[in-house]
Amino acid sequence: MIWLTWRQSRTQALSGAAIVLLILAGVALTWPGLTELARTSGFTACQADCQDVADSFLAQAGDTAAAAVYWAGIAAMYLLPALVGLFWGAPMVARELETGTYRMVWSQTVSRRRWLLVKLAAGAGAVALLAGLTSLAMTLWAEPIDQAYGNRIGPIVFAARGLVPVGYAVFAFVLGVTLGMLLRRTVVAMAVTLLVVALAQVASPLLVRPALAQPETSTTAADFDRLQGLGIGGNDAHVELEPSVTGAWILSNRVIDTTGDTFKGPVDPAECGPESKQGMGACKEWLATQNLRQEQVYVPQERFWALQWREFGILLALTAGLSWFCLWWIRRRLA
Amino acid sequence: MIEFHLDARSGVAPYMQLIQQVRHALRLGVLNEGDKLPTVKEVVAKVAINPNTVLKAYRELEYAGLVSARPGLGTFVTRTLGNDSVAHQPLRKELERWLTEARAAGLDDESIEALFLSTFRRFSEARA
Amino acid sequence: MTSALETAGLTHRYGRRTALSDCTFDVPAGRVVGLVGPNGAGKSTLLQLACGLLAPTAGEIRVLGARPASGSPRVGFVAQDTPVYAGLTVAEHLRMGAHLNPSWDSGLAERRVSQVGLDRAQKAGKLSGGQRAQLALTVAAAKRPDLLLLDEPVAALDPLARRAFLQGLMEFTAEQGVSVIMSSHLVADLERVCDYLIVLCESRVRVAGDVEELIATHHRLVGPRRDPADLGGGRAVVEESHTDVQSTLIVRSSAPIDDPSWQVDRLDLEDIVLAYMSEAAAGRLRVLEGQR
Repeated sequence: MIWLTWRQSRTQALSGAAIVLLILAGVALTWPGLTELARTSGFTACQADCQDVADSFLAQAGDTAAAAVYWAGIAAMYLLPALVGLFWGAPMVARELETGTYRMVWSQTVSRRRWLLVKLAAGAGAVALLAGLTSLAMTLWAEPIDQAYGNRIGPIVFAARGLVPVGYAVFAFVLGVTLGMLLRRTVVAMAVTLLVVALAQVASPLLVRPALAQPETSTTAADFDRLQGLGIGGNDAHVELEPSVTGAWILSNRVIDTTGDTFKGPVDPAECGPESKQGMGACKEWLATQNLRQEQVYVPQERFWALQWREFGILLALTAGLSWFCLWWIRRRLA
Repeated sequence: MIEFHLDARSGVAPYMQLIQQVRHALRLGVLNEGDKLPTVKEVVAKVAINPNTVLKAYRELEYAGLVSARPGLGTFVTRTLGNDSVAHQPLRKELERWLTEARAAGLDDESIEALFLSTFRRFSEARA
Repeated sequence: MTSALETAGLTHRYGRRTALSDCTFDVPAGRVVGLVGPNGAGKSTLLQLACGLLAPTAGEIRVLGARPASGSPRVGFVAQDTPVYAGLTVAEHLRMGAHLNPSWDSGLAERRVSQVGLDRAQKAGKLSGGQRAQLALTVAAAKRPDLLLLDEPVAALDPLARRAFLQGLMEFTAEQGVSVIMSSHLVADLERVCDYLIVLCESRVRVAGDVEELIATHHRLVGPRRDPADLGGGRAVVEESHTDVQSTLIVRSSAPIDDPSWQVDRLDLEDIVLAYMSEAAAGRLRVLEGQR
């Protein structure tokens, strides 16, 4: 059964491995240069107030091949789940149902459940291995870059580092198998798998991850020297301050008044209005007298691994649920 | 060794056809005492019929005392049928004379055959 | 001897469509059974129930004395259109069989492949219909099952390939003493090779029995017009047609017909099967004649 599974999916397995090897090669080739750059730019040795050093390191790294590897790595971690779901998962059972070969293989001395179990286990194992290797390499390799950006917990990079990509890849694979089994048409299953995986990847940072992360809220006196944006139209005003927390995933950042509502004006037209002659400075001073505060809801970067485990756990639970469903379905319903 | 063939449209049961073919071969001297009949496997592989049909035919032949099965070796002819070469010589001579007369009377091959068959049939029916 | 296939009230529905209803029969082991019926009669459903690919909606089915389950080492199945893996070579199919079946007979498989002239290195997707059927049969046979189920194995084959397939099948049957159940919508395909027949029509079993017995007990009676009910006990009318003066009946009767007013003809297997197949249609016809 293991031989058959290998024989039937070796093309997909080898092309998947080739893509992963390509990324790993890029990582290996640029690794010494990146480490060297982090050292020479002074970023590695930097202990405090590193923003300028970090910026210079990033600017220099941006001119090397490492930049391409960095973006390719993130793209790969997002595409890998979709690809394995599409090309490994969806056809695995659907193609057998479509071509009728299931009737041949199920009349060998192997139970349907074992047949599916081996396929699921071998497929999921291979997917986890490939995704795990890539993610491990990318996570270690990109550590100085992520540190310099301070965005490892940010919604984009988060799902391309650590355990979460492995979770998505395995989930997408089993999802593909399940949909293939239910829809019984390879192409339809592929399309639906792509749609669901993409939806999950988009919905997760928007809806699920904030709930998992238990974000923290900090409310501080508004410092209008950090004013980032100011929009005034008539009596209404929109005030935006630069976030004060660093390296965190900021979910919301607003200026509130004493009642706790978002500050929307009104502003004193004499100080902040278009007829104000003193310009921005006067408006800032006026705002500073309004008793406004800055409220930030954020996930601190120390939560990175805890959040990784939680999201990975959820994906794993979904994978297990789908697998269980497949094994039940193949026995009870399919034929 | 002989080869079997089947006529699907003859209306004769397949096992009967096999028996007739063996008897025919015995009568013509194609098969002689001690000769081996094809194995069941060989027959079915050749004519694509049910093995039980062949077994049944061989069983009937065995009952008739024409062949005997030696386990592990095969089925062998134990007796031949109607060794006609000597005994039938006078009959053959007479038939040849009749055929010459029929030709002389102006009958063609088809008419001779029809005449023979219809007479033979009437004769058989009268006997039955 | 145990039965090869035994059913009681076997029924299968796909959603609302009934594919098989209330089938009860018992096929002895060691036979080559022909399962005959028009397309859509439920032949595939019956065979897939027998190899455990389907589960019955109602009723009982026992194969070699046990509840059927897919993955049984004792039952081999060659599905309709003889599916094979297009991307795998002939040799890889044999390797698959060897991996998936503890009872695999690689000698038999190799012998058969050579005998039917299959190229081991050829991809199965490039084989002709006949070669594909031979490959599927080889894989099913080398498993050394006690019961071999074949679903319309020769339907898509040309006459030469058909003959070659049946030759191979019969050779294997003679060699291994295996029970065979094969379906076809044409009796002619099965006539020579089967010694047991099941006629399936409109999801019901019309007749099941030993071929010789069927031939011995079915007669065509032609005589002056009369009511078939006069025939007497032990006789069942399978098909009847009447003109003003004449009645033609197809009758199943264990006792000889000695009424001299009937002209009694023997029937071949095809006549018998056709008579049963048109039984339902004849029922409708009878109603029409009654109205006329």
